[in-house]
Amino acid sequence: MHPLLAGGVLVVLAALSFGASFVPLRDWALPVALLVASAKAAIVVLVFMGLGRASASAQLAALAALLMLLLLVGLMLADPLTREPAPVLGVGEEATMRARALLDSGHGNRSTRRPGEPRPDRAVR
Amino acid sequence: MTAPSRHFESGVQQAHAARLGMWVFLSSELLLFAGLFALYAASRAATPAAFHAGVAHAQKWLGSANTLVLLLSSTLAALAVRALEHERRRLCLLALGATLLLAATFLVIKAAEYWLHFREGIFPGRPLDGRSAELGSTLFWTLYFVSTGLHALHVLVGILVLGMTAHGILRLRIGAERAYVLENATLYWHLVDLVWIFLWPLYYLT
Repeated sequence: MHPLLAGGVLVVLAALSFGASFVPLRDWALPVALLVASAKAAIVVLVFMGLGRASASAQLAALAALLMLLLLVGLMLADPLTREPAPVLGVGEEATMRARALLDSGHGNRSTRRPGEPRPDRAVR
Repeated sequence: MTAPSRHFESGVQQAHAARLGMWVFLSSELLLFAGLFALYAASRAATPAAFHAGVAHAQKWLGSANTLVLLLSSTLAALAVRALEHERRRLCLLALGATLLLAATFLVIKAAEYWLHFREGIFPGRPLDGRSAELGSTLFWTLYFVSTGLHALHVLVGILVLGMTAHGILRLRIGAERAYVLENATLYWHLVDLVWIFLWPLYYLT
């Protein structure tokens, strides 16, 4: 692809992303934005940086970095997304269950949130 | 024009080694930013409301202008490499000059953004809410300043690298047969653009 054409496509995709940011997509906003960003990234890497034309060893280096990035981000996401409310120390099971009930009443437990409701902040360890 | 360095069998091997070296370096730079993106992901998952508020308060128009600036600069950099490969040195230098100008523009817009934040009282580690700030707000703004600050530092280095290469081309030290030198410099620049492509939606749009 000629660089000018690639540049044009990139600007169009950026405009798309910019426009989408004014539409109330709510839960879909982040995935859509990241999808468009990934498309732009693919164009920059393949057309501008010419990774497709590069040696196999260079492609391997780039792939390794991408895999490590996905691993790092993926596992860092898995932690807060799979947290249970921590037990209340030293006060016994009854108090812990009351604390859990309080949290379950809408303070950050994913299973009680209805789709479309704003996500409340989670307990940060 | 210049013979390959003595530890290389040929100019072709030297070019290959130079490109591979650059890709390995770029991979390590990507992992540097990966740490910051990972922190963003975990922090946003933990405190999504604060992150939404932070993004809503970002300088969207300035940030988006910067996105346009970097995309255009990457296009021009790619054109510069093509021009050099075809022995069109004047066109190459013109394209590189425009790239450098856009790069400087990016830094000016970034400085304006930071100044607007500082004026409001948003500093790294001390967000808008002041002393009673939520953790999420502090996390967002600190990550914003560190991520965009580190990126701006990379832009500055990119300007130096591209500038030195342009000087080499001007002085006839780098020509079509050593085009990989310019190619490597632009590879670094494209990585800078790549990182911003993801910084932009995460800190300004969503």
